[in-house]
Amino acid sequence: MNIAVLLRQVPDTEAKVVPDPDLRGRIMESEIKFILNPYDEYAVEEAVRIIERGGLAPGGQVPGGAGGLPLSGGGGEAVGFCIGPDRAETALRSALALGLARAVLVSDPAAVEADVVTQGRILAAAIKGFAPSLILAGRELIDTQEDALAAVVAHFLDIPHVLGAGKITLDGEKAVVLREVEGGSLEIAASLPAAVSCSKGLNEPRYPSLMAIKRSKAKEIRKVSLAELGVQSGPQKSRIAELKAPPPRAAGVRVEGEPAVVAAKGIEWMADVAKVI
Amino acid sequence: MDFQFSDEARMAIDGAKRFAVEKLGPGAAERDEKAEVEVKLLKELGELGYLGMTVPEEHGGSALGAVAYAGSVVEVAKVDAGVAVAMSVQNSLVNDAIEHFGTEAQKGEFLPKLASGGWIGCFSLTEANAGSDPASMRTTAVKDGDGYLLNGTKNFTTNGAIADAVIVFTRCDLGGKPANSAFLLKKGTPGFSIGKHENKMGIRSSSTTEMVFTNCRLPKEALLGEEGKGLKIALTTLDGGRIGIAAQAIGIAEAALDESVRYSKERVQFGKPIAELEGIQFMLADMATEVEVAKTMLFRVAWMKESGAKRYTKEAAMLKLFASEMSHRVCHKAIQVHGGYGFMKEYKVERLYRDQRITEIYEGTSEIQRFVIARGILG
Ligand SMILES: Cc1cc2nc3c(=O)[nH]c(=O)nc-3n(C[C@H](O)[C@H](O)[C@H](O)COP(=O)(O)OP(=O)(O)OC[C@H]3O[C@@H](n4cnc5c(N)ncnc54)[C@H](O)[C@@H]3O)c2cc1C
Repeated sequence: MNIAVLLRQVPDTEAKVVPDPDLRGRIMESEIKFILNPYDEYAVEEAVRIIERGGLAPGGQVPGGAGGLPLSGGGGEAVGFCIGPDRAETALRSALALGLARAVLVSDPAAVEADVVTQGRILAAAIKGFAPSLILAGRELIDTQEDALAAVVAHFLDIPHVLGAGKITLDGEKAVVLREVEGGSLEIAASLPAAVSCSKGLNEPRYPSLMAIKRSKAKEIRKVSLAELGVQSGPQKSRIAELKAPPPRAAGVRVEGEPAVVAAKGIEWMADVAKVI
Repeated sequence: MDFQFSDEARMAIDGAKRFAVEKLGPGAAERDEKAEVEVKLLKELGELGYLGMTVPEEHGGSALGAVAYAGSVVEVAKVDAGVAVAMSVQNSLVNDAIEHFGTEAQKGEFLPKLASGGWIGCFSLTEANAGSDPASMRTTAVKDGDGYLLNGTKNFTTNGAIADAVIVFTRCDLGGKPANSAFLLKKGTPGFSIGKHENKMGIRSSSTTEMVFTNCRLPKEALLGEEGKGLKIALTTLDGGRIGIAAQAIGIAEAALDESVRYSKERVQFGKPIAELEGIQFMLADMATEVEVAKTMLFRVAWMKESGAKRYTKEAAMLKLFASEMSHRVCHKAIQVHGGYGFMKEYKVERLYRDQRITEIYEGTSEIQRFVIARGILG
């Protein structure tokens, strides 16, 4: 039983993100360090733990078939799938050091630039031949907060998708996913194969050991083109039209005096000047 | 010329950073305050491979190389300089000495345990009356049947109280001529005990102790390297050690710089953040420049070691000298940027200032480094 993990690369949480003055909708990349999307680490960790426990019991899997890559290895592998530029290889390397068996990277600019629905369609085509029983992804991207990719992939594979897993329990037939919601929790059962987006708290991603880092070097990152996948990107359905830095914070108003006076003045200001109450 | 880290080195350094921030960060101030040595954290670093970074794979190491090692020590030192020195001693003094001078039996027995964090090691050269001048050491190893009998007291040994493996240097008699020998022994060897635990100004999360030898009998297999070559073993090994100490000094300085940049943007005086004052900006600019210079030098000397340079004694001495004194200047300015708050224990720069000080002293004082450099250029 195979597990596919959707991977993406994002700017480091500490990076200073500045809109590119020359390219609308893009950020200045030259000074930025890129990392594996932190939510994706939960997905990788979960996939690796499932494999380490002996894999999934036999059950539903995405039917392989025409058009897909003949990827299915010995079975029982966790493999990463990514659309991204060449620099995304470093994020894939990190995922391999955390325990994925290998990774597939679609780096055609047409795929990298595509909208999320198109990317989902492309990934579905790439994943199909791998015939996974489970597709795991991070809950959202920490940069753009886009959270649709796993659902779109599930759509094109015609399998269920469950968002925001805090816990995943598997038997051969289904995945039972626990999701924390306002004031309680939901338990959602999805038949396998299924796609699940992973939240923080699902597990604690391991620190890669130096030995694992070394081993990851020998693992394959296979670059595939849209032509090899037999898909086309098609017209762009949506794009980031503009990216703006937040406006600099305006100077505040300082009120001084006894607490009662300060409170009264504050309320007056909120009502009459700021007009927020 | 290529200034890129290899993929593995970058990942190793990133991993060290994450471990330092997440695992070492939360308790660092408290360990300093209470002078607590947490072996568990050190062993966790070891399990991940960070205590055997230059040990070959066949001896259980990750063999990632000196560059990845130096970068990792920097990241650990930014957060807890006491853990950083323990890591430096184990990697570059203990493992390297065994790897270069040990017998196959010693390598097979000690390196896999040291490289995986199962064992902690120490390197015991200094004595009360033999610091900068180790040749004047008085601890003796006298031939006793098939083995040796050790007597004497070593002091200021990093990792002393937590060490499972001990490298100790002694005076010996080589055919009537005085010389020095090195030995490798295990904790629990009869006649060997831990003496005084030092109460220190800085790097208080590390252990520094006396090591006491009283009729401690060692078999001849405990000899490390050739008999009579002890001092050469110590000095050659210290070349590599200085890379680790320089990395520690640079990590402390970088942390002091980061704290100062942040603080100067937050602290408002005369109606604006002090970061907008040219006097503060010039200090920050000098600090950042000095850190950058030292870091560049660090990775160059580490690269020399990694690429198999026979000796890099002069370069390692220059690096250690510059990095430690640079760290002093940077930590000094960091307190200045923080004003009175920098003098208070609530602010990290107070600890960094104390932690930095030792980097100008151990593994050769600044004066000894200058002496080594002068000898290198004068021939
Ligand atoms: C926290 C800590 C941890 C340590 N860890 C270890 C360890 O793990 N293993 C170990 O073996 N040792 C260790 N040491 C010992 C350390 O290496 C010595 O303290 C150091 O080498 C200096 O020796 P000393 O303290 O005896 O000073 P001294 O040698 O007495 O020096 C006093 C002063 O004289 C100067 N001086 C000496 N000789 C000369 C010269 N020829 N020319 C000019 N100036 C000179 C020195 O630079 C210094 O300023 C540690 C020390 C400390 C404080």
